[in-house]
Amino acid sequence: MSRYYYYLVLVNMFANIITSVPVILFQNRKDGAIISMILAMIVGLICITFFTKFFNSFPGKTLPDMLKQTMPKWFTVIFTFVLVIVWFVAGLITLITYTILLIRFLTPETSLVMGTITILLFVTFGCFMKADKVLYTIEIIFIITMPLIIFIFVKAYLDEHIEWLYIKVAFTHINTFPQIIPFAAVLFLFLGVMNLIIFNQFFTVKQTFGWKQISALTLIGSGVLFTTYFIPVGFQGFENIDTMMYPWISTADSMRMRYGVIERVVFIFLLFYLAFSVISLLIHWHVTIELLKSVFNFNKLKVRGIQVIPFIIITIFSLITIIAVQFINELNLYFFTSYFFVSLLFLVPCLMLVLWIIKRRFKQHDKKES
Amino acid sequence: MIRKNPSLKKCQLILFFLALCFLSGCSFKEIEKSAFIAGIGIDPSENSERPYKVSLKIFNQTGTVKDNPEPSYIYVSEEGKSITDAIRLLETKVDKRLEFGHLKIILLGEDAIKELQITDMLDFLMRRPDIQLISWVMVGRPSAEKVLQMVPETETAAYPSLYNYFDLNANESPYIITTYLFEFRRQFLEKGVEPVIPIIEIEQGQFVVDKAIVIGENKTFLELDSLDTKIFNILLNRAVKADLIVEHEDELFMVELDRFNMDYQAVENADGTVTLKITFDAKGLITESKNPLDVENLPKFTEWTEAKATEDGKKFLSKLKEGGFDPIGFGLYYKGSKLHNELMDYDEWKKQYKNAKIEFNINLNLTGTGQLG
Repeated sequence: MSRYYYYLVLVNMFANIITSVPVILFQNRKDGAIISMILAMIVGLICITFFTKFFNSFPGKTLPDMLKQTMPKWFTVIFTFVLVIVWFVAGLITLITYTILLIRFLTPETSLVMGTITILLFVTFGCFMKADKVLYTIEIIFIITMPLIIFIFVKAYLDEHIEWLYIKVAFTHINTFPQIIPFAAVLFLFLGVMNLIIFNQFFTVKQTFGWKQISALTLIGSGVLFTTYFIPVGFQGFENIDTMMYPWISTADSMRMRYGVIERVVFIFLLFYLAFSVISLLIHWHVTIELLKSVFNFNKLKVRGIQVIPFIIITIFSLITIIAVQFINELNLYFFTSYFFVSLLFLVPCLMLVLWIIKRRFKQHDKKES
Repeated sequence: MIRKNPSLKKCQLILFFLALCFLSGCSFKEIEKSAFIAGIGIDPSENSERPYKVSLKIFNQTGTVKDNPEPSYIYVSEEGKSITDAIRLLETKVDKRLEFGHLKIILLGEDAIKELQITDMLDFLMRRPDIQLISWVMVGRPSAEKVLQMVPETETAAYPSLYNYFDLNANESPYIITTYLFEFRRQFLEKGVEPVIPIIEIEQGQFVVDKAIVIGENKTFLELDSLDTKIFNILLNRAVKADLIVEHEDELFMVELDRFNMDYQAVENADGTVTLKITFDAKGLITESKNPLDVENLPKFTEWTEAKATEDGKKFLSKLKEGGFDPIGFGLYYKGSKLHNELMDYDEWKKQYKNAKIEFNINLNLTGTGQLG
């Protein structure tokens, strides 16, 4: 596979391990978190295989193109709108989570709205870039931040204060029944591949996707999951980790670089975290806007040769975000996120079904022509 | 090529200047308007209405170290209904904004841990996002305030002397136990392991850090004297080096131990009793001796050293065990050794722990007798 494909998959994994996903897992640590994780990973890998194989068989085609060719108009419009909402909300959750977090830890004196606007300014204009430019941006940020992430992870594993006995205690709860919310949350980590519905236009050449690629993803996925769940347990103990609002931030704060320029790892961690949140947001909202483009004709409304609709969309996005940021606090953000994850459990099978129908119709079409 | 629209350029220019508005700074307070706190001390007060007495040690800012080479601090303290309440009142005593981000020392008064609720203090310390989880928790004797206000002769400007004891850069004595805030929390809240924090005393204008206290459940405490503190440090591989005095008949020599490795297990026997197993490996070197030593006798010395170490270790462990204290974490080991629904319940475990058998295996490897035979 092209390396850009991996960026899409990995960004979703790394951007989410730190926020709500571990919190949801720790809430359920005594009832089924581990089994949910394992199940979600298997299902997630099946999803990855399915989506990749499907889009691989139509190189360069996006989902809206295919919908237009095979489905009735009303269905296309409704389905695209559902997708728009889901992708927008995915981005919105990331944005709100990170804004709240950055203001809490990095700049406590900044107002919430100001913080949101600063991030919005970059992202809203960024997501109007072409797909290839978005991917190049991702690559640059990925290459800069990846060494830092790996450094922090390796440091966490080798730290003398990580207590593996807590991890063992966490393991003893393996024989509990899985729950739906942690399952959905972990599944979301593996759904970065769904961004192919738009980004497939970049992959114009047929890619190889076989056991090698799947096993590489399995390896990375299980490593990421293990790290997400067990490293905070090793640092913060098992019994009371569910009372922590930000287990990963606390864990990064529990590491100390004795000879580092900065003693507290947490600041490095927050920086990489910010970069990742921005690219995750960029991807999600780029997909949203491309989906909108397929429904509205952006060239229709022009003032002096400039497209107006993008500015309208930016205004709407910003307004919704700014309003949402003020209403949502940490507690209802947690519930909001959980509901979003669960709703994906309905969306993913629907999307798969639609893709299957599209594939069949294309085949029938080909048969008729021949 | 993209057609350049002249009005688009103008638009970009306007946007660029608009963006400059964001450079006004993130409403960040100037650095000289902040009072950086070096340490916080919590004591009980005599007033039952306002039980918390919070003391702060604040760095007194100077332009350069040259201007003021002596360490200088401001000390303030106030009583309050809760810790935050006291801090709010303290804010009125200092003209600057209190900045907790550089706080490294958390001193709990000896009476504070016994009379006040430790959970309340932990709650305050953990809830504030700006307090570092890698700050050091310690007990001040006779009170946190007294220890906080002590400035020993050796102190340099802008680096409190107490930091040197715990930052593992300067002093690496085996008598010093370092407990970070996050460690203290996880051990305090988890069943099956108990936190140990160092006790800081004052003696003739210097700090003495060679004792520790185990905080057990239900407000039980066990003070470790300096020998016990050292053994604890060695057992948990926290010390880098440690010495052991070996006496045998009229021989007396000192062994310097390093490269320790300790393994511990808590095994439930078939009849429901518990055995605590400890295996301890270390390398050693004889550093001092009353009589001349013969290298050929090294196996004999090893044997004596092992016997002495086993005796010390067993004594220490039985003291912990009989008091029902478990700072090493046998309970935690037991919890991790079986599926969670097959464990005995916690009270039963406590009872079995007190009556547990101890197996102590030591493998020492004496590498030589130093530069003298």
